[in-house]
Amino acid sequence: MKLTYRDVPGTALRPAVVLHDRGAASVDRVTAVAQASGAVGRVVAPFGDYGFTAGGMELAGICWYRTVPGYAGADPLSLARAVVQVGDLLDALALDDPALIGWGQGAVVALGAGLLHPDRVASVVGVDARTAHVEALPVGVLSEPAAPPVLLIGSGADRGSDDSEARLRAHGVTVTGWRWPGGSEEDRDKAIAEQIGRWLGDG
Amino acid sequence: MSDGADSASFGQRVADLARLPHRPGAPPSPSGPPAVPPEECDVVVVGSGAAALSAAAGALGAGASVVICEKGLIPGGTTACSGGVAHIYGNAVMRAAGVDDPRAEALAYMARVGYPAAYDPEAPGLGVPPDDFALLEAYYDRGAEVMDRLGRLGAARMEAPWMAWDGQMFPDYYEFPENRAVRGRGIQPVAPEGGAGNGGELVRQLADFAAGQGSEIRLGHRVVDLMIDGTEVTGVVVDDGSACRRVLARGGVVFGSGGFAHDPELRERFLRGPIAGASGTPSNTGDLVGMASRAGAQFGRMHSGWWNQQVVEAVEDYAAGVLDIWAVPGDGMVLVNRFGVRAVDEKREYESRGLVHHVYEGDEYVNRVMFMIYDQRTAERFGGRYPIPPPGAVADHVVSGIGVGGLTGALDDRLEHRTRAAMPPGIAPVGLAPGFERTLASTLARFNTMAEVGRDDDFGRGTKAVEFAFHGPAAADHRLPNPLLHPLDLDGWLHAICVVGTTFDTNSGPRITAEGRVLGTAGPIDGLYGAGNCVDSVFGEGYPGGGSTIGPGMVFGFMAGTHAGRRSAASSGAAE
Repeated sequence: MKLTYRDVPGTALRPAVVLHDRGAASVDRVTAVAQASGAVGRVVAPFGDYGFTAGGMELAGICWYRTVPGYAGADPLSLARAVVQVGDLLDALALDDPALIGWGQGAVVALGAGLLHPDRVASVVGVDARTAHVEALPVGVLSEPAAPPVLLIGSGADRGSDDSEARLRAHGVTVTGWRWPGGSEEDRDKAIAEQIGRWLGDG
Repeated sequence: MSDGADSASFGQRVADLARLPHRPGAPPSPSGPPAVPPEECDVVVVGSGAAALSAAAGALGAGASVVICEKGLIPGGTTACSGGVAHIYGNAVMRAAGVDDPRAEALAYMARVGYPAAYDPEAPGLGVPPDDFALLEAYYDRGAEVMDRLGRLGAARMEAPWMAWDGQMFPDYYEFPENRAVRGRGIQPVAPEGGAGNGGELVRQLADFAAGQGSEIRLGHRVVDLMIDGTEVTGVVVDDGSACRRVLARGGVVFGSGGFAHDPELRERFLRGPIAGASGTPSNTGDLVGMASRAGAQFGRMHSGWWNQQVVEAVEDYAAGVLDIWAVPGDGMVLVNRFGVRAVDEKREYESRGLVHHVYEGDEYVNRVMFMIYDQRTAERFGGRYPIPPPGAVADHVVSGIGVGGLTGALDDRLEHRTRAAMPPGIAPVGLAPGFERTLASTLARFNTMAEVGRDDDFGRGTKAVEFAFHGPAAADHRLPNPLLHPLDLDGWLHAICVVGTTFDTNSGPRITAEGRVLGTAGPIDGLYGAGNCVDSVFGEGYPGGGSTIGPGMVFGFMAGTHAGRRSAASSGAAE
């Protein structure tokens, strides 16, 4: 098991694995949103172990995969690496029927791990899953026949998540789409948490 | 771990999931039907990092038609994983800033770093072998000019200074008296939005230029053989994943590909010392080595590489994004070997730290595995800076215990029970030496005393500009004279991370001339060129500063591409 992770105990509700976007600050944000949803108990927050070098050298960058500047998508090999790592984490912690909740980069990894391991994942929530990155998901993931239900949350202004929805539906995945509202970041996170709570609760 | 994890390595499972073609050792695709006529062009370029794409720019600038073959699925090779820095003497940024970089001193600096045993300021050529000294001279004389020409062509704008966190230009890695220009030799591409771009941006600029001239990078195209006519290289055989086809190159073939660091067999055969793996792009598997042998090339210092360190648990071959320890974070931190003894200035650049693992002393490689030891304060202050995990995280690669005794016990247990499975190929497990606990206690007590007064009498930690550039700002609670030294609290939790010596990539292969032509036993081989990590490094066994890999790759790549392009024009002119 190569991943470093935080393990936050909670209620007896279904556990969640939360997958951050680029940068360490995103870990706290996605953890807080998952907890605020009221629909999950224990929260496991792994840290991507890919550093990023934007504008030179970033000492504390925490990423799931490499994006290729000037090219729309992610580096498929480093994305495949992240998907394998999260699968190993699910094995190692033997979580019971977890929800995967990912944000940005982490949303794409959550989709990959969820599609690859439908038997071990109850549902997948992806916030701000960019289409170009979803398209870089390993071929092996998208050829899996079964998939857990997916909730995709994206911005109204950005067609990106609509396109991600269409792409996943084309592969037979059951997708619910939801656009986050405008307003402050705080308001938006609250609305996203409520939506996740409703959707996981319904499931 | 699942059965799957036991039956296939992590790297192999990643490669399987990504359905990668061209795995190391994979046999080439069956040959295409004989009826398919070979493709023809002026210059074939192999690879798509800075060396290869600078070669393409040189050839395109000479009016040649260019075919670029990249065996990976994404462009950019190891350049795309990097900061995109080139180490260039007397570059435009230095000129604009009024930094003088005189020739004699610059050559002396390169000679001392690259040829530390032979360097002699009184000897002809500074003691460097004549052919190698000629390369150093060519690198000084042509480096800035090539960068300027790439800029004028519109191929790459290498005009941004490589800056450190403190607003100063990043310093070179050695501060010998010969070094008259410690800061400013590192330059980066100018990003579209201004400021400095990284290696991905450098690849984008060079690739866009080539594409604009009609040469798109052909991804998933692996060059598997050279076409040789007598003593001349006339083309290549390319495997596109479905078939092998020939491409004739009238001017020549320029290899700008990687070294062999991700091929365990070549590593074992050529490198001396315990080298556990590599952090460059996973397709650096030394394809040129076999092909150049067949063409009769002379080989250089095949034992050489760009050294660094990795966490034992992180090492793996053939998976993307393996992190090296770019800088060892922390002030209350030391690196010790299995005897409990420090062996290196921990805050130096990666190359010096990587090299210390190669030391054979007494009866063994004493630093084969080293232990990065830090206290709880350091864990909290520097958590999140790899490899110190973020505060509150469960991290498999960290071993912890209370006090020196507790840590020694925990480390003993880890080495006994866990490390065998986790060790990289070619590196046997190590145990702590008898007396480790006592020696570590005295090492740390001495370190703490030196930290209080701010002077490391053993390794001079905290005296060199480059250490501060790598360390970043001093910790907020640091009140002592030397920001890079802080005592460890020996009564509280102590932590250890196991570290091995690795490489970004190797940096040797065929020897080249100052024009980037590959040398055979009877002089340059017509039609065969090389630059970058696949050929012998201009810097010998040294790493003078950030950008020492990309700089020579671009300079000799550009000259090689230009030479090959002109050669094609000359041959077609002669035929007409």
